Amino acid sequence: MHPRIMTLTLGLSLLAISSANAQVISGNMTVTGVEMH
Amino acid sequence: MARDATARLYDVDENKVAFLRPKKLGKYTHGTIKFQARKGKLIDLDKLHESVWATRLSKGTRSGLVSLEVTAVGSLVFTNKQLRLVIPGSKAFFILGRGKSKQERAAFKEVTQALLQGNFRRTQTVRVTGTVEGWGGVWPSVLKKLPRKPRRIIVTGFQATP
Repeated sequence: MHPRIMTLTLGLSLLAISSANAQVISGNMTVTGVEMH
Repeated sequence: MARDATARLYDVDENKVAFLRPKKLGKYTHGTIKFQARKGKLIDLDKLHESVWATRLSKGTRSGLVSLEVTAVGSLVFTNKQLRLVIPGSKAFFILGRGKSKQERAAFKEVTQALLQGNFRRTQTVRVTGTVEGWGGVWPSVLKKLPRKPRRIIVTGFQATP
């Protein structure tokens, strides 16, 4: 069973470059609208 | 897909990105993308928002962002009547807020106690986890603008040693 998020797709392709303003070491991003396959 | 996309973020350790198995909660199904910065790096939430914005997700997808919980390491300070977590080596800081749940109230109490022990002077480095305000909503409204700054997080966890 491979879960995937329905439409949160390839747009996440922008690269985050190192920034003097970076803040966090880790995180959990919860989304809704997940399709099960 | 989202797991792979998050892993593309430069400062995100691709080996430490996981999509936690979703569980059905009523009508909609939730899933959590867990991510961690590369060793010695930090993740910029502006860049993360930019990446999510780039999805151009629109109405009718029945999907959205439920919440963003982050963990940050820094020093506690009390200034301008605000309890802040200041990130070393960065201009960034978080305003720390108290939540309503038992866990949130207990975590916030630990934060205030750490500050009290130091007589409200800047503390040594601590680790704070919290839910970022303004990071939630359905597409596309959640994508339209960057959540306000300074960022405020509702404290959900605290560790005196990073």
